[in-house]
Amino acid sequence: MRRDRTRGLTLVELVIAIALAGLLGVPIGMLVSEQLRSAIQARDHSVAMNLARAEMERLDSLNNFCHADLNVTGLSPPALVGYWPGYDLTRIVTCAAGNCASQSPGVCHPPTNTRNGLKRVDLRVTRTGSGELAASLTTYRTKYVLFGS
Amino acid sequence: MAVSGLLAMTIPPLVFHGAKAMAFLPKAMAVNHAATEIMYQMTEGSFSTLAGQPMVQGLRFALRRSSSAPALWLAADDCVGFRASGGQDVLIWWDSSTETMRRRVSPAACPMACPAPSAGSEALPYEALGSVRVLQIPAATSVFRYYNQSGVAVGAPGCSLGGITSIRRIDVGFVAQSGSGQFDSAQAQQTMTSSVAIRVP
Repeated sequence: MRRDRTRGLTLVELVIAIALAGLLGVPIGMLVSEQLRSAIQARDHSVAMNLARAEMERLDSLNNFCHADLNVTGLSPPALVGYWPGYDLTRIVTCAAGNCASQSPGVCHPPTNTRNGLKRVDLRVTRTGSGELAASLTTYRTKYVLFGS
Repeated sequence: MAVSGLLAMTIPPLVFHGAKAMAFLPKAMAVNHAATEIMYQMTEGSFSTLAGQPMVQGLRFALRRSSSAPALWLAADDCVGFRASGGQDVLIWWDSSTETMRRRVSPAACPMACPAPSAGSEALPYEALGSVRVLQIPAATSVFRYYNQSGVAVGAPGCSLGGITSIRRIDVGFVAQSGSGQFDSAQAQQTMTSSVAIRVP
């Protein structure tokens, strides 16, 4: 008996086809999604790391240990929101050793002054909105010596 | 009919998006690699294809030439010339016609045409084989920006000795992209900015 060529798919055939397509499509979709996420993460990391380096170089190039940006901030200062489009920056300055009390504005004390303690500077670059950490750098500064990290 | 219609409406956009993502991924990786390498090779230095120069040092190694000659000998909007600690006089510039960052090692000379002729130079990254474009950041008008020891921006001094001597930091910023840089066209784009302190100006 000849098969009726005008006959369409049965519901069972359609369901099986959809299930097969799903079985193949879901892992491929997950793979592509994961790859996209990795590419975006790689971009975020390199952009954020360069932003952190830029800020670190800025602090290093300041010939002013008494600059407000090097005042002790405590462990959770507010982030500089919108430091760069899409990224926030948090500058955490803590006292690692000695006396790091703020010096008088506009006055930088001589090396013999007790307020020339060793400061630890942590820079954290996060994604605006999500707060996801993209890069962080740490260095130590005292008045006349620079310790890189 | 309803199931078929639903599938017909949802599957093509998904497939199209997937295909676009597949085309985008290698370009995104190439742009990321190029942008990172360009920044690194400008600031830190790298191997080189320049004749007689297996290595070229980056801006971080800029070192005062003498008590009267500062480390930088040219500080323009899109090009910077400096003496590296190894004794090389390095010129790095953005070539708007080829949309590349280029560098060469040549005797310090100022004033100098900027962008410099590409003869005797190499594009960055030196190992590049792809077609990643390098552009100025739209909001900026230059690739290089200069700052004094108080962190205050100083206009590009060009060859002015007084201006060059005051420079303690150089900001470098550019956009690396493939094609139009738009994801809708499966192209990638990355904006890079970093900074280098001139420690022995």
